[in-house]
Order: sequence, then structure tokens, then C-alpha cells
Amino acid sequence: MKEKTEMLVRECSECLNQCSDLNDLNRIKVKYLGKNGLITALLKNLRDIPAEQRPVAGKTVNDAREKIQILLDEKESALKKAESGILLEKEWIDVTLPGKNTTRGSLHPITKVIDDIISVFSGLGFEYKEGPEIETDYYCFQALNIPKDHPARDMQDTFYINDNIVLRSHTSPVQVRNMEISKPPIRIVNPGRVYRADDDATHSPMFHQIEGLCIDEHISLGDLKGVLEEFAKNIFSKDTKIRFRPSYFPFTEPSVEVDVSCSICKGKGCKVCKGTGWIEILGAGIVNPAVLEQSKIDSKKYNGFAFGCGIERIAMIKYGIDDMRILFDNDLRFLRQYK
Amino acid sequence: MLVPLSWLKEYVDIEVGINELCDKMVNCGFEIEKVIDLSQNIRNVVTAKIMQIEKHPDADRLQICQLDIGSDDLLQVVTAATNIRVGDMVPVALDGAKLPDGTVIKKGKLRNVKSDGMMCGGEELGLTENDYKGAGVDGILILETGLKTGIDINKVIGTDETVLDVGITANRPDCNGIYFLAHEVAACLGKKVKPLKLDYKVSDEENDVKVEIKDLKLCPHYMAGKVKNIQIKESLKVIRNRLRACGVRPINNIVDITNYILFELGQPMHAFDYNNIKNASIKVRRAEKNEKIITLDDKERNLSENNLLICDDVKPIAVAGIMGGKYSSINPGTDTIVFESAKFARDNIRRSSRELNLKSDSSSRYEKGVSSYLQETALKRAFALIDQTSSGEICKGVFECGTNDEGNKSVSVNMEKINEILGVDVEFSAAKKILKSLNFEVKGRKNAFTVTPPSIREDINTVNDIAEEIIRFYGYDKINAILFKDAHQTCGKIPDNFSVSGKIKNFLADKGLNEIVTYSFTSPEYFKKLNILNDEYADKHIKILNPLGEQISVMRTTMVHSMLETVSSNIAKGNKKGGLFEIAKIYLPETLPLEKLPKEKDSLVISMFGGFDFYDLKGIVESLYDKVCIDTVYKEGKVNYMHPYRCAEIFNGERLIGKIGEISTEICENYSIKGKVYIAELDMDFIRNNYKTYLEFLKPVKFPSADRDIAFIVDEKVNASNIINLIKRAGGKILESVSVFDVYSGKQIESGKKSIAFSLTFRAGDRTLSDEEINHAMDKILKQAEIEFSAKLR
Repeated sequence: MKEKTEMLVRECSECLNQCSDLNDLNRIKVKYLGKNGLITALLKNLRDIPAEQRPVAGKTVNDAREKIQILLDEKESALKKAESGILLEKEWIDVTLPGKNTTRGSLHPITKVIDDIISVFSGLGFEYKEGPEIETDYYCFQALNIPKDHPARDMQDTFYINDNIVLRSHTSPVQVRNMEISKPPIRIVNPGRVYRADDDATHSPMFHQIEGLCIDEHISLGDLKGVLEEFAKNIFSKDTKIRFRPSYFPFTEPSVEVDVSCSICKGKGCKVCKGTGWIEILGAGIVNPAVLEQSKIDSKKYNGFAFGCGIERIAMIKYGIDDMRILFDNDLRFLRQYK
Repeated sequence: MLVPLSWLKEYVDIEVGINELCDKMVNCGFEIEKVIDLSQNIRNVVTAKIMQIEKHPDADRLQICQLDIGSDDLLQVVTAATNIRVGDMVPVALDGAKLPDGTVIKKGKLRNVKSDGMMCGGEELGLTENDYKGAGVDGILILETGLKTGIDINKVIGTDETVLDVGITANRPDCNGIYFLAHEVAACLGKKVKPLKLDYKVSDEENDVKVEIKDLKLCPHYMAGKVKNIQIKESLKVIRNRLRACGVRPINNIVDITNYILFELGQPMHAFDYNNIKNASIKVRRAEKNEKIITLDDKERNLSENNLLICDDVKPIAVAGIMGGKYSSINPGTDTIVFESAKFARDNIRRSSRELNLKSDSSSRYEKGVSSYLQETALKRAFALIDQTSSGEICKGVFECGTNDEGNKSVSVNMEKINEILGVDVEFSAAKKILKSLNFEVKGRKNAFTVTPPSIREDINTVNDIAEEIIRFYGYDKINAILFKDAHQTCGKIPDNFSVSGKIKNFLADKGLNEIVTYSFTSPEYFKKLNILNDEYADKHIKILNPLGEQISVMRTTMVHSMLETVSSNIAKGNKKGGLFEIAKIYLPETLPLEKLPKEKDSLVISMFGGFDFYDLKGIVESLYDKVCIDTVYKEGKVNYMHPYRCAEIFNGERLIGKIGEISTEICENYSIKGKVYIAELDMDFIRNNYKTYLEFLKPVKFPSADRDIAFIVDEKVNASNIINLIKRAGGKILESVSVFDVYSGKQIESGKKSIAFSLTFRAGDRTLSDEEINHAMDKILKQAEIEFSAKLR
């Protein structure tokens, strides 16, 4: 019996070696393990074997059956694998063709810069505000310590609608509007469009500013420096430094111009910073007590700082744009760069 | 302001280099816009003496000159000029010399005779007769006698000067005088300022000029002095050169002195011809309406009561502080003059100058503000210069009218307050030292002291002003950056209405659209181009009084115009396909002319062009409203600039919140656009005020749904939205949703008709629906569609 079973296993194994598809395999399976298969026949014949030899013979046949089953299973999985490989290959695609996604549009660099700045200042406790672009002379100038016929009006070429209404030449009137309606501590930022009668490569008759105002007790130029340093580091790069230079604005005293270290040459001097290593980015200062008093804030108790910054200028520095007018050309080839 | 360095050096010893000087000035608040080296226009041109002149052997019109240029060998130069003689001193451009027009001189040969340079004429050196005597002559410039040979010509013609272009801020009108700017320079260099020369001899004759001020508000202070036996002549070279460096043409000694003082002290002065002041009597009064004067520039000026005049007993002789009258001006025959040194109210000068459209160096100084302490010094300085240059005899006495007393200007401060503003710890002693270097008087102790600025400093009024003076010289770099050490905590809020704009911008960018930014002002023609003549907003725009050009002279009431211009310019640049959007304001006045501030409304305009269709744009607009959870209904509409049959109005309930459609061909032509453009103009304010983010929670129903499709044949102009409304009504509560999935016309469909197919989903919240219930609803829908639209089942 043992010899017989061993031979069957050997034969089956040889058959399987020859076998190359699942149909063949099925035939082999039927031949050995089918209803009338060779192994099945041996099992049936066990009845004819004497009872005392039956357990040993039975085990021998069963072992052989298992061996054959394993051989068949192995072969089946090997064949299936090979077959599906052929099928999958038929499904070959060119993965280097471009994807079907729709084209991504773009946000204007001015929007991107404003969003970045707002996010920095909101983290520093500043609340976002807005104000009218067509503004009264009072809010735009008089309340900011710039009376009518004051020489400081020459600092900005203002567009007038009539004697008392102007296109705001800066975002500063929003300061006044907020000081009038809220109590300290005040911390606000407000971006928006502003207008000046100027038009060349570095000036546009319409541009954007962002204004910041902080009114509280114990505010110093040190706080201004700290806040602007955070701003510069977040907008330009971590290693950006800032520098104050004395200046004059009627609504701040002391007033400063603020420079940032050139992020392009890292302060060594290049075309963008005109070889100085520094780029002027904004004007700021301690709020003039006269402005506080004008808005009914006690200048003995409170002081504060304010700053105003041109968005286009920041965008030009950040993105290396050399002509402000390109920002308003709205050429798709330009716009699409700012995804 | 242009500041010749030599002038500054007359009052301060400057031992540092020009770069260090500029840095120091910038650090204490004086921007250096430019450093101009006047000598750089002329290089390598020197004085030379003509030693010998001989005829050129081969050319009748040429001469060969031997020139002494201060070196061992003579220089040979060939010239065609004929105005030269042996012994003349002339400028010669050596090999490699550069002339003001950029010409570079090279040595060479003229008709085979070597010429190692070129003798220059006045014009070639950029000079006019007024700049240098003889420069106007045709030929070689014959220089003054007594010069050494071989010296740089810049030294001879006054261009060996460095000029600083200094930005003077509006709070420091005093520094519009070089002498007072010198005080700042002295303070930052740790030097002392040298005094002005103010001494002069006085003759026995009394000054008989009388002055009367009729309006002390417009003219708070007026001083008049008289000089007789005037000799009108050319000014000293140093005065002429400095005036030229400041951009002013020297005229004669008297006029030059007034200009010199304008630059040196910042005090405008005027010199009248005494003989043309009737009765030696000066009156300062407002002009009468329509009163006229011919000013120095030969123009007749029509005046108003706002203008201040200087008059004699019978007539106006000057527009106060702005320009003198022609009649009483200095002329070559003038023998006696009256110097005016006055203060006029800056706001009035500013207004008058603008009203008359007349600006002068004098008016611009007065506009910035002139201290009432300057007049006396200026007059003395003028007398000193007259005396020093022997230009005339100064009469005894000065007529003074008005006052220069503006009260005590002391400021009481303490170091604690100052340091609190500055955020540094400046020692009292250091602060005191700085203030004293600026000639401030300091009295008291650290905790309470008073500071009295020099009378010229009218900008110092508060503790903040004192703090600034200190930190300017103490150094801004000493301020340590801190972050609200002693201040309150505040919460940085970004209100929803701002963030919703951001969300929409991002959404539209994700959809493939590109954000644009266009000007808020536009051409008044825009509504004609858009054919919106009868629109609610047409011609109701706000006009700018002083626009930079007609193209940007009115505030827009719609953004469609700017959008179409942008589309057009993009197509012209070869960007044939694209989508654009802009969120900005439109400006809607309630009344015109504007009495109060207009409504500023946020608007959103989207455009798609180059291979898109109406539904591409509508799909984006629909999902935009979906994103902000605003319900919309689209109805056929009429918009003047859109295709009459491809245009919808968008409603939320009864409220019109937007328009969408195809721009009509006619309008496209107005913008030179070929091809189709789709535009949506949406009320952004409405979105900002009505958007929702958190909706009510609806629990998903667990009972199964049943889907049915239905296709109708209807007239082709039946709106799908009307059928959908009908299906919703007839379908009743159990209809969960309905949508269009196919529209077809053509084969098998009668012409003028279309097939429109809907897919419906039924579901109930409390049970599984039976077939009967659904069939019943479908029947009802079918019947109703037959009644309302004569619809047939396909």
C-alpha cells in the first residue's frame, strides 16, 4: 500500500510539473481526488483490507491524499498568480500622463500678503477692523493732528471729492474711528485700499496699506519694536532684523521709519536694498497725545503706538517684483504664479 | 533741500567723511536723499596759459597753441577758435577728459599736427554768461587773470562742491535754514556752531520807512530796514556759487542777498526799490476783490480778499510772502532799497499760493512755517552782507510792527515718563547733555525738570517731543524689543465677515479662477460702454475733483467694466482662456453732489472666457452659494450688457442678490473682445451678512429610499426650474430630492419641443414607502405637468 501511495504522489507531482493552466490542473485534481479518482478508489478499497491492517493502511492513504492536496493547492495558487499577472498587464496605463485635476487658480499677491499679516497680528492680540475708503477730511486729517492748510498735508497728494470729503490717503482714519467708539486696551489692525495722486514704478494712485494701533497703559517704543520684529520675522524670514530711524508723522511722536534687514542678501547689500543691507518698509511711532485727546482718550493714563505699512511694498520685497504697476496689470501669466 | 557742504562747513567743523556724516544725519532724523558731487560732470579739465600761437601749416582756419598747464612740458593743442591771444588763461580738456554733455576728449591729430587736448568754450563746460563772465562768448572761454595754471577747472567755475539733498520733515521748518541745520549737525558730531556774522556799520541817515499792519493774524510780525547809495553789481563769487548749487540763478548783489538769507536762515526776504514806495509808507492788508497786481514774472494776478498784499500809500507792491510786484522791483538804476523781513501766517500763504497758482521759494518756506524769532536775525544778516560787500549804506533804525512774543514755551517733564515712552533707561545726565547740545535750557532734577527749547524750535510742546529729541541722539538702536510686558492681554479677533471673504477667495481659486485687483476709480464713460444708461447706478458716480487723468476720475458703481477691461487686456496679451474674480467695493452716493459719505458696498465679480459656457460659470456660482449656505433661485433676467436670452437674475427669496450671463456681442465689441465672456456680478455684502456655517443637525433617516426617473416632452422654452418646482409641489412630503439628468432635443423629438429627464428620490422619515404610495405621487406629478406645461411622458 505504501509503495502504491508513494507512487501516486510521485506521479501526481510529475503531472503537476507539466501542468500549465487551471483547466489542466482541474483534470489532475479529478484524476486523483475526484469521485472516481485514484486516491478515492484506494480509500474505497480499504473496506477489503483486513480489519487489523486497516488503520495503518487508512493513515497511509490519507497522508497521500493530503500531500496531493497540498501539491494541488500550491500549483493552483502559482497558476492563479501567473494568470492574474497577465490580466493586470493588459490593464497597463501610462502613469506619466498628466492627471485629470482641474487647474488651480490663484490669489492675488496683495491678498496673500494681507492674509499673512492679519494672521501674525491676530496672534499678537490685534483685532481686524475696516473703515470707509471715501472719508471725511476730519477723520483723514484733522483728527490726526493735521489741520487744514497744514504743511504736513503736502506729505501726501490727496484726491478730493469736495472740501470735506476725500479718498483716504492712508488707513489711519480707522484708528480714530475705533478710538472714538472703544475703550483701551485697544489693539486693532485694518488693511485696505488707499489713494494718492502719484503714478510711477514705485507709486500707484491706488494702493493698499495696513494700519496697526495699540492703546493701553505702559506702552513704549520697546513694545512697538517687539511687535514689529515679530511681524518682520513672520513675513520675511526668521533671521530678519529691524531698525528704527527718526522721522515725522503728525499723529505720532516720537515717529520712526522702520527698516528690515534685506532678506535677499541677508544684509550684505544688493540691488534690492540699494547696497545698504536695509529696506524701508513702514512708518510708526508713539501715538501723539493730541490725537488721543482729540478722540477723548485720557493721554495722562494711556499711551500707545501706531504703524502703517504699504502692502504692495511688502509684496514687492517678498516676491521680488520690481515694478508696482505689474500688480495692477492683472496679467494671467503673472497672477497664476501665486497659487 | 539742497545743502552745499561748504556752506555747512562755514558753521560747523566737519572732520568726518561724507558717508559718516550722512549716516549720522540720517540717524538723527535727516534723510539724505542724494549726495551730489558737482565736480563729477567735468573731469580732467585744467587751467592753462597760452604761451604761443602759430598758424597750422596745412589749414588756414586752424591754429597751433602751446599751453602751460603747470607741468614741465608745454601742451600742444590745435584749435579753430579765433578769440585767443598769447597770455590768455583758458580751460583745457586733457586726454581722457569728461565734459558735462558726456563727451570724452581724446588726444589725436588735426591735419597731421598732433593735438593733445581741447580748449573749451563756456557752453562746452555747461556754463552760461550768468554763471561765469565770458562763458556766453562764441569761442574759447577766457578765464579771469591771476589764476594758477594746471588747477582743476571746477575750482575756478564754482563746481568743486558737494551738495547734500536733505529731506527736512514738516515738523522742522527751522532746518530749512542751513545755519539751523548746522546746529543739528554740530549736535551729532559733538561740535559747537560758529556764530553768524551780524555786525555792520550804520550811516547817520534815519530809516524813514513806516509800516502799518492791517491784519495781524495774517501778518504777525513785520520789519523794514533801509539801505541807501546802493551799488547794483555782481555778488561775491562764493555767494553766486552757493546759490547756483542750491539751484537758484544769481541776479545781482541785492536780490542775491535776499536769496542767500532764504537758504541760510530759512527766512524769506524781499527788497523793494525805495523810490517806488509812495511816501515811504508800507501797509500790509488784505486785497480787495478783483484787485490786480503785475508780479515779477510779468503776469497780471487777479486777487481776492483771501490774499494778503504789501502796499504803499496808493498801490500794491507785492503779494505778501509769495512774489514781489514788478513795479517796485530792484533794477539797475535802483539807489535806495527797503528790506522786508516778515512773518506771514502759513495757512494763508498756502491757500493764496494755491488759489493764485503761484509758487516761489519764499511761499514754500512760509507754508512750512517761519519762526517769528527769525526776522530780526535775517535783517541784521542782510545788513551785514550789504556792509561786507560794500553794496550800500545802512540807514539807522528798523521799523518793527507786530510782535515776536509767543509766550514761554517751557515743558515740564520727568525722566520716568520719558523712559516709559521710549522703553529705555536713559540717565538724567545723558538726557541733559543731549538737550543742552541742542541749546535747550534744562532746569530741575530727574523727577521734575523743565525744558525750554530755543525760540526757533516751535515744534517742541509736549513730553513726547522732548522724548524724541533725547532718543534721536541717544540712539534708537538702544531700544530693546519687548512684547507687551506691562500691558493688558487682548484677544485677536478675525470677524466672520472678513474670513468669509477669504473663504470665498480660496474657494474660487480652488475652482481654477484667478484673483485680480483693479482700480476703484475708472473712466466716466464706463456706463456708456456697458450700455447701462438707464440703470439705477448709471451716471450716479462720485467724481474726483483732482484726478490724475480722465481714465481714473470717477468712483465705480459696478466692477463689470474693470473686469471686461482686464479680460480684454489679457486676450490682447495672448492669454486666450481664463477665469478671473475680484472682491472690492463699489461706491453708491445717496445724493450728488456728495453731502455725506456714500454707501460702500462689497461686490464680487467673476468672469470666464475662452471656451467656457454659461453652465461652467453657473456651476461655480451655485457651489459658491452652496458653500455659504445661501438658498438661491435663478430667474430669466434682463441686464443691459448681457445677452437677452442668456442672462439670469439670482434671488434669495424676494431679494435680488446677483446677475449672471453672457456678455452681449455688442458690449464685447466695445472692449475689443472676440469670443464669449461670461460674467457673474454678486452682492458680496449680502453674502457677508447672511452666510451660515453651522446648520441645524438633521439625523440621517434609516428607512430606505426609492428612486424613480421621469422624462417629459415640453415646449423648448419651458424653464427646468418651473418643472422642478412643480415636481416638488406635486411630489409632496415624501419627495426627498429631484434633479435634472438629461435634456435632449433633436431626432425623435418634435421640433420646438425638448425632452427633459428628472431623477427623483422618495423617502419617508417614519416608514418604508410602499410602491403604491410612490406610484400615486408619480401619477400626480405627471398629471400636474400635463395641466401646467402640456407635458407628455416620453
